[in-house]
Amino acid sequence: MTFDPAARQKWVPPADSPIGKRGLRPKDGHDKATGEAMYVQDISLPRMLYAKFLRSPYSQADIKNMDTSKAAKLPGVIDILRYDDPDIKDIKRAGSDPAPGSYTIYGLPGTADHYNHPMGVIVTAESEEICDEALRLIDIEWEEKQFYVEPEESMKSGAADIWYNTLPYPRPPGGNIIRDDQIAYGDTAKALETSYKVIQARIKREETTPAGVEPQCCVAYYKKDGYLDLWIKCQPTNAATEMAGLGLVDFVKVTTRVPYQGGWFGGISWLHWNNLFIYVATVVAKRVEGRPVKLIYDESNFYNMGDEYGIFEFKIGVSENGKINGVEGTMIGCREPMNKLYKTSNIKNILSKRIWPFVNRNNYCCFRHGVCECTAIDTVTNYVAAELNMDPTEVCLINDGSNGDDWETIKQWRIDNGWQNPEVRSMEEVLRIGKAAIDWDNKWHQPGTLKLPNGKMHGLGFTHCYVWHGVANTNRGAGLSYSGGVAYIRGQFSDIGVNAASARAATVAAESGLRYDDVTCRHFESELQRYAHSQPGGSLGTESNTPQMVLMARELKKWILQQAVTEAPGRPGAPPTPAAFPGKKVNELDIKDSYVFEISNPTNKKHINEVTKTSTYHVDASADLVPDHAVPYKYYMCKQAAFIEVEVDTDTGHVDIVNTAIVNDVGTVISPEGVEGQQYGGGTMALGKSLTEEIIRDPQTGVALNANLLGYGIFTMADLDKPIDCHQVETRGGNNAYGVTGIGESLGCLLAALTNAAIYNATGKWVNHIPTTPVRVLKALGKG
Amino acid sequence: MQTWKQFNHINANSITEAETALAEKGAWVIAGGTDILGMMRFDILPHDMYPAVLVNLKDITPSLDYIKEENGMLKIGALAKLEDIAHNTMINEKYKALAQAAHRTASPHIREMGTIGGNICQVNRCWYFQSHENRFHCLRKGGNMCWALPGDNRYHSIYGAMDGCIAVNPSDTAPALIALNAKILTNKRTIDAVDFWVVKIPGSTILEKGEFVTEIQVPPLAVGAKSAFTKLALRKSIDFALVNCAAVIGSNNYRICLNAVAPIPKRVTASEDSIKDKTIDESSAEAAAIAGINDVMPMAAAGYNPGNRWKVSAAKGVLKQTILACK
Repeated sequence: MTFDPAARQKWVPPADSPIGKRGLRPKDGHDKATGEAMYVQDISLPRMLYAKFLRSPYSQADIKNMDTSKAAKLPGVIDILRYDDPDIKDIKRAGSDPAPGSYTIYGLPGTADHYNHPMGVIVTAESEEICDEALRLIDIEWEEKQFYVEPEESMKSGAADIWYNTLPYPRPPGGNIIRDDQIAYGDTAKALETSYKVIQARIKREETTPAGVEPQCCVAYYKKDGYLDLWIKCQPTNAATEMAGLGLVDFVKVTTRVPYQGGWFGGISWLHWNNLFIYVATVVAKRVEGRPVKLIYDESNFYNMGDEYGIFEFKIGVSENGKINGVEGTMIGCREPMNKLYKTSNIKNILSKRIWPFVNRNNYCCFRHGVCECTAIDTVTNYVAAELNMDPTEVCLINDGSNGDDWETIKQWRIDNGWQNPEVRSMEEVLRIGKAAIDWDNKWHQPGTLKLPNGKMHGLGFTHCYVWHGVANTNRGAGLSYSGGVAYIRGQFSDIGVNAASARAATVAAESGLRYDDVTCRHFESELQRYAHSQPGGSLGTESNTPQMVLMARELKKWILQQAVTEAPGRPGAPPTPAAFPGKKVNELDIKDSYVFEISNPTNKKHINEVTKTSTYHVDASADLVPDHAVPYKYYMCKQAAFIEVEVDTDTGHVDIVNTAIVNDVGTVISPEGVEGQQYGGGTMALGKSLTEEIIRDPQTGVALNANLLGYGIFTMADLDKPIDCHQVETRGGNNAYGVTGIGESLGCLLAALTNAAIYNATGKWVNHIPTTPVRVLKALGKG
Repeated sequence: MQTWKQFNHINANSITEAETALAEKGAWVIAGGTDILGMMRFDILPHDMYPAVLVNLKDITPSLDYIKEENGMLKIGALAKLEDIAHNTMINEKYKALAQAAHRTASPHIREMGTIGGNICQVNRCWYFQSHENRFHCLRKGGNMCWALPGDNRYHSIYGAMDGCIAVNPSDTAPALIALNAKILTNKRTIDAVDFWVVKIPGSTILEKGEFVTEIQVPPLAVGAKSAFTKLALRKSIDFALVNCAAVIGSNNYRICLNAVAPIPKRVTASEDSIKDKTIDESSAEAAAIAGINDVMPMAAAGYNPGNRWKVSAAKGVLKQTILACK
């Protein structure tokens, strides 16, 4: 099948279909409500062994000597894999998100680069308890080295090298700097020179972590015939391909199963590091050939660091009316901070710089990817508003656009290209709804001017961005099979709780005419990963896979209707079976709720089982899609905004979030509950990043002091005075099928600095150190 | 390491049985278990302190989970659940500070299991003390230094050290019991609440080997006296206090107690003297709060450690709010 990618934007969901319908039973509901949902941790196989890593007690240290003899003698220990064993010492993955190739992660290094670094040795034993006991028996002589947990220290001239065994190429001059680069649009220097005012801002974001409920885990079963079965906890499911690339196992000999993935509170359950975990499990399994091995981390699984950690500095050139002429933004951290500001605005001059130093904290993790960039948008918008005494929503609208073009230019482009609803301006709609939801026009005030009767200071915060867009992945696709009245969506993906299966089933049902309940999505397995969906859901998955769902469902519908008018050949010697609708043509029929019916006489209908009888059908959408990767989107036109209302206790530094409104233009809503789940879930997670979450380290040792679910303050819905008020907008302005766009990840980033702006509105003081805990609020108020 | 070490578990059916079982080496009591099980699971204590035996008090008959009033005295069994205390009508009407304190402890799930006896006996929450696998072998575990002193002490004592330790007492019900002039009964003696907490290795109470709390007694408030409890926490849904405070004020009763600011609960007599005989209003509450923080010794910021000077302002704020709540 083929299609025109521009045309798919104009597809309209069938009327009166499951798309956008509330109350559909979630496809994962039964499994999760009954406890039958199987997670990797639940996998238990006959004669299964357990394997555990040593975790480093030091922040930067080498293993000088290691004596594993006592551990090896412990009854129940089957294997001990040392870092210097030829089976593992060269297993590595070059590149860690977000800068592939920047540094290498070894599967089992002999050097620890952060506290709790899984390294050194893996013990495989009959039980987890024996693993732990054996690890305690290993004698290690460590050589502790200089460490730095703060980027400013690591970057200093003369600082000792850290992470010294992890670069795949000679260390660049400057010691601990991995990358020092930039992306430039226009001429920012000139824009700043010619501006009415140049505003400066500096913000620090502390380290956050996914804090997963289900620790990293992999079951690997390497059989004596060289075939490998895997059960993986990982977002991308192409483990087999990757291991083939490492020479570990032939691709065709790997079966990968992807059970439900336990929650990571919005953290992405993938990374080169997670893939590496699977490789290591495979190495261990090969060594104990013939017995399955479960490689596991401990419960307090705080081994990754959010990629938003760092220091941001901005120079913003503005005109008197709030028009932003140019922005120079630098992040001392792992990302360039300004990419999304460019995508969501008409600002033509942006210089986005990154200085990325090593620090002896955990490995960077793409965790709700985009917090940095949302921090930049939040800061730029609100600082401009503050300096010019303007309403930040006005600043937003003045600078609204995409890729440096303003709304009028974009509108004309939409008209010229036959866009749906070309004159509907997403940002206007989003602002109108959000401001009404929080009563912004009546409540917004100048900073530090409203003291409430309870003695607290009232404040409002606002921020915005575009809603992330995905692309249709051509190297991943799906299949659709039909038999006995049921359509089976084939395509492996890891479900991390976003319930993408329901959205896909709704699309197939809508386009094929089947009932929603007659469409099933079995995503846990796929032979040879023949079908592997894009990432599970949220910003990329549902959007990316919608074109495939639509196309396959339409093919299925064509086939069913053809079956309805075609005589089926009988068995040898038997007469043919008459068509279900003899004498009719395909275009005289339609399908609704799994019934084929005559359009001019709807009472003439037959269930699809009667029509298709025992025939089956298969179609795939893997190979025919136009490679969209090479064609970036012209504009990002679906917008989102968040508003919070706070009460700040200026004696204690406590910030109460008393009201939150989130508005997302998702283009087209496929699953309203799915979107809402992302809104209130993602919104809550992001507020935690803004207000309570950080890993705190001991300055003398670099040890994480609060790396547990009690000490690390994950924000919960119980911490909000009121549930988040979620609003969904449908402008059909997305670039993908039905004009749809993504939702999840963007929400988890959008509010991640918002309490800073809200506290400023309440008190007239910027905290500028995220999260804005009482410690920092009081310091900003001069009381700390 | 995250797996359990071996230990014995004994169900005591009477106080005498419990006493006998506790005579064994390494025997600890377990009630709700919400404190001790975490400590064992995450290897917080050095191996020679790890409980070898847990003596379960929940099977003792008659049960120790009662809440009753006898001759005007509130009597709460040590195993009364925090959630039951929080929602008890009589406690809410007559001993409001205690109901509020119980209600603000932890989360609903933990309150359904956690007992008041456990809450007042829990160990401190200093992150150095609580480090997994005893990563920091501190003073309170038999080590030779307080790691918080040169380390990150943003949540630690603002009233200086006690026996070299600056970890704070984390209990929410403790300040309420002191403010309410409660007595704590054990299987051996009766102790005034204000004398119950000390700094020990590794514990936080005056209890001796083989001794456990059986009952808490709270005398009736004088007519016209009011009580209140306030808590500042990072998250109101579950967290331990950054600062908490309980007060009983009125009819010649002035008892105000801060907690989570010092190694043991801090009765702020300076605040009591300041508010004595005054009408409670913004001004008198502010003055009393300032008096209560007169003798603080906060930790200075050093390098990336922010110190805890912020906590002085927070303590003042919480003091003031608690006093005003007794209006």
